[in-house]
Amino acid sequence: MKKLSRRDFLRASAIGSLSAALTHTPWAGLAQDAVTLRLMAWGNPTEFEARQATLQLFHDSTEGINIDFIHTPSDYMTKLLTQIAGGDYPDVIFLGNGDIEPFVARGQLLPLDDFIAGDNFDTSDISQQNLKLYNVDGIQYGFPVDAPNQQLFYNKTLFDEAGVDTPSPDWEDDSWNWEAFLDTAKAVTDKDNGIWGWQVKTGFRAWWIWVTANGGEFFNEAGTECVLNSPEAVEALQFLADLIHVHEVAPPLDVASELGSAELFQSGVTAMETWWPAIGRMRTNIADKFEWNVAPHPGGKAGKTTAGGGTGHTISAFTEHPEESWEFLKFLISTQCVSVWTDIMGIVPPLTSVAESDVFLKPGEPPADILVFTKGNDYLRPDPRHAQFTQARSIAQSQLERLWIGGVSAQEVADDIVAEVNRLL
Amino acid sequence: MTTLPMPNRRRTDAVQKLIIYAVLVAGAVIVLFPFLWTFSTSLKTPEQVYQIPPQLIPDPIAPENYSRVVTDRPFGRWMLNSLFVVVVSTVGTLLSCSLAAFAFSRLRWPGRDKLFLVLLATMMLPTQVTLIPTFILFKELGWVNTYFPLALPAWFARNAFYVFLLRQFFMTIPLDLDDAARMDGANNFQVYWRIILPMSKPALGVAALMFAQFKWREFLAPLIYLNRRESLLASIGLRTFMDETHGTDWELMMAANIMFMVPVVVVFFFTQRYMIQGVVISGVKG
Repeated sequence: MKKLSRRDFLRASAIGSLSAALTHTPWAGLAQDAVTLRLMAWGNPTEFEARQATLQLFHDSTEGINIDFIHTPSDYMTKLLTQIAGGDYPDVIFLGNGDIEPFVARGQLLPLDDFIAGDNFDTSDISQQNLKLYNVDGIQYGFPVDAPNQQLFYNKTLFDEAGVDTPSPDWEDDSWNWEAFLDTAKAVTDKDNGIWGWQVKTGFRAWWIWVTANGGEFFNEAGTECVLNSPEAVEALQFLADLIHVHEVAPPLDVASELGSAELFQSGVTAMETWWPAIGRMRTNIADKFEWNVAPHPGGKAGKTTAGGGTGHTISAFTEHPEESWEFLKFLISTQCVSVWTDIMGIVPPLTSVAESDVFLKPGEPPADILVFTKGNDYLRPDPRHAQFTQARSIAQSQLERLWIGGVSAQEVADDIVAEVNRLL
Repeated sequence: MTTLPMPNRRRTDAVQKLIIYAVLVAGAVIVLFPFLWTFSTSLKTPEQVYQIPPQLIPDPIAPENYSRVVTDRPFGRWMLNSLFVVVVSTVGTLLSCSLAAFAFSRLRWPGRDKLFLVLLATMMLPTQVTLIPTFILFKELGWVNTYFPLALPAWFARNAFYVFLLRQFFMTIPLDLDDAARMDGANNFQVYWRIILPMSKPALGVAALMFAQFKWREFLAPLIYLNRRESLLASIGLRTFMDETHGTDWELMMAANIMFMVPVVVVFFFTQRYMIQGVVISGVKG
């Protein structure tokens, strides 16, 4: 790093503060007629890299639009909501698909239909399941940047050592059900050597897959009631808790939660794990430590499902530059941009053109059954769509912790969640 | 003051001391272990981080984590930014809060005690309540994305707690001193500057330390007000290491944490007397 003297620093801060105070966007005046769009996005280190690369691409290919990227490393919603409430509007907003509905309900997003019609913009390359996530009541508000769905990652080397069949990549194969899963998990668990068949992930989607696969729901259809205490949902939650406490094929929560993310799987401690398709990072982290592959989660009473949905770009309803924002949004869903994003992030692209290209398929590299992800789009059960979902989810998450730690039944916890969530509705 | 031990009680005293030391050492080990762990992790390679059984002294050690922290990201810059904000706002807090405390404790004026209660009441407001109104205020002033919202309020006795702390301390100084100074022709400001402040060094030290520590770690305001990457503060910058979905680079995160802690530890090393006094004076742990 270039050494910064105290004087340089003070001077820079003074100039920076002054010019920011005067013009709000210090360099807006430099280029004639250039418009500066403010892009609000979070970004972990990998995403930050992907963001920089795609912004560079946009910068190189476009004249007259500058992007001021407001990178928010954590507590994104706190910052975004404060900004919006305070009238300091970003132009383009990176939003998880679950947040689309609440933002639309508050009138904070710009409908895109007129732009799409005006430009005859072709959306047929975009995975329709994912496009729908940014659509509320038939009005399109954004485009996805990825199409991640969570699948089951397995350590093939451990399977081979235990002499167990690997799960089928076929979404229609009925033999890969919960029983088969439990048998497999038991067979590969080798506690003496610190090997576990499974890890119960505590994130919402990690258990939501099991609930939906068993025919459970979070809200009733009218959205007036939480129904997580239905027999189907309770059975699924109890099944997961039993993996820790009864069958002992998954490590207790304190060990697992300490490490978080996919660390246990990547270090060869768990033989199977739910994970979203951060395949790129997985390839580098596992390298040649062991062989791995992916398969759908086992089917429950309602068949196989997956969770996920991903993130997309939307335009603020309060932007002063809707035309330029639309141009930028079109770029973000272009084959060129999505290819770069997919390549760096190593995730599932929302565009068929990219999903079928080697940027995603990476022939010769694991996982061999990478098509499980693309096919999985048809089995996606997105997060419940409800204006109160964010709050309802945090209630469920904190209540469920008791279940994962042990000592209570899923029924008890689910009843408590339902009672607490229903008070919100 | 300790009484001199009687010769025949020397042995029991020694045993007592031994027990006390043993308990203290055990406590110190427990308290220091997380730091040791952080430091050890900051010198590990990514593979060593998850090695089981864990190595406390990594072999080989990876000091390059520290240079990566400042080269992968402008972490050095973020530390300087933090330092700048902390110094400017701490000076401001000391001057403005002591001035306000002086008025509340040494001067007589109508409504003083009622106003003091109002001031104390502001301490009851959670930050979240004032977050958006304050944001709107600074936005209207065009100060979003500058350090003004972070450093300037401190110059207006924004922190009622420190006014309270200093007022309580000022009240313990005999009023006769003020009178004597006034007899010699000192005005209010001179009494404040020449008499009260020099006599309140311990309390000022405590206030400075407590405030600087709080400011160094402050998260919400810098998160809301700073937008540009190079102008972030270190407390926010630490979060850029977290990657829940891809996996955090713990060795870098820990190296950054150590760097983040160093200023605090160094300051504590030289001023622990004040820090401990702080607990005594205020009854609050920083």
